[in-house]
Amino acid sequence: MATDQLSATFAALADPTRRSILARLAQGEATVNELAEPFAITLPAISRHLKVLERAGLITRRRAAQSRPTSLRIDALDEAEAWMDSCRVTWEGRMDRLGAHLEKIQGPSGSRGNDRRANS
Amino acid sequence: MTAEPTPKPAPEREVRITRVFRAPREIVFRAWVDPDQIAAWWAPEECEIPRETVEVDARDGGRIYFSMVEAARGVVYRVRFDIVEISEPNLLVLASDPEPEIGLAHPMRTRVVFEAEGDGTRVTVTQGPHTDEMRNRAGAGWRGSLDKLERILRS
Repeated sequence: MATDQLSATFAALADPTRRSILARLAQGEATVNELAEPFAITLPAISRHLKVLERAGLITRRRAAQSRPTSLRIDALDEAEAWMDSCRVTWEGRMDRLGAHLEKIQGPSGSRGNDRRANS
Repeated sequence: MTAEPTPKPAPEREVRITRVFRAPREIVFRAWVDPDQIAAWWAPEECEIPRETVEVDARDGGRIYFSMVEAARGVVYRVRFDIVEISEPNLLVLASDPEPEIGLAHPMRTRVVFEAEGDGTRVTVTQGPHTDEMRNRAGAGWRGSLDKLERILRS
């Protein structure tokens, strides 16, 4: 997996405006004007956000039309998801080993490992 | 007009794993900061952690460093966690720099919460990428917006 691409994806997702844009695009293709509508920011600012999203591979913009309708690219999100899955597998394995380790140091009965201090 | 894209859950930006262990919190927590114990359990099956490589400074701003040796391939992975916050036996927050060789492509924030549950301990690990941009944002806002995005994408 392209690490740089993934970093760009996560960085792009870190911005609330860009996440809102993605949420809007999840409902379907939209023009820059339509995307700008809910925000109190300028069109150039929206365009800058779109550039970041485009570089991150999260959206595609049609060049043909002047309004440059934008749509969501699902596969970039999939890539981030795949990476997270591998991270999850690593942790599950690590937790298995922690469990085995704890049983070992406490004894099979699950006793606390506390000293049972007798009188002497 | 294009067709409506298929609604799809947003990817999680964080991995969350939870597990209940049959041991009290104090004992479970020690396993995360005691060098002997780290050497015993942290590495994957194919690796070993030489005890002498484990360096722990268990305090806020401290560190957990060690090396994992994969003998079969003759590879050594150095693991470096900085301790952002430690509250024994409740909480451990670790930060790590990108380590592509062990699959950590981003700065990571790992949060480990230890909660008593019956006779045992519930451990919840949350790990997520931590870019500069994310670091500059209030955690709550970022999480809230993500939840919102996720709800919208799921609907």
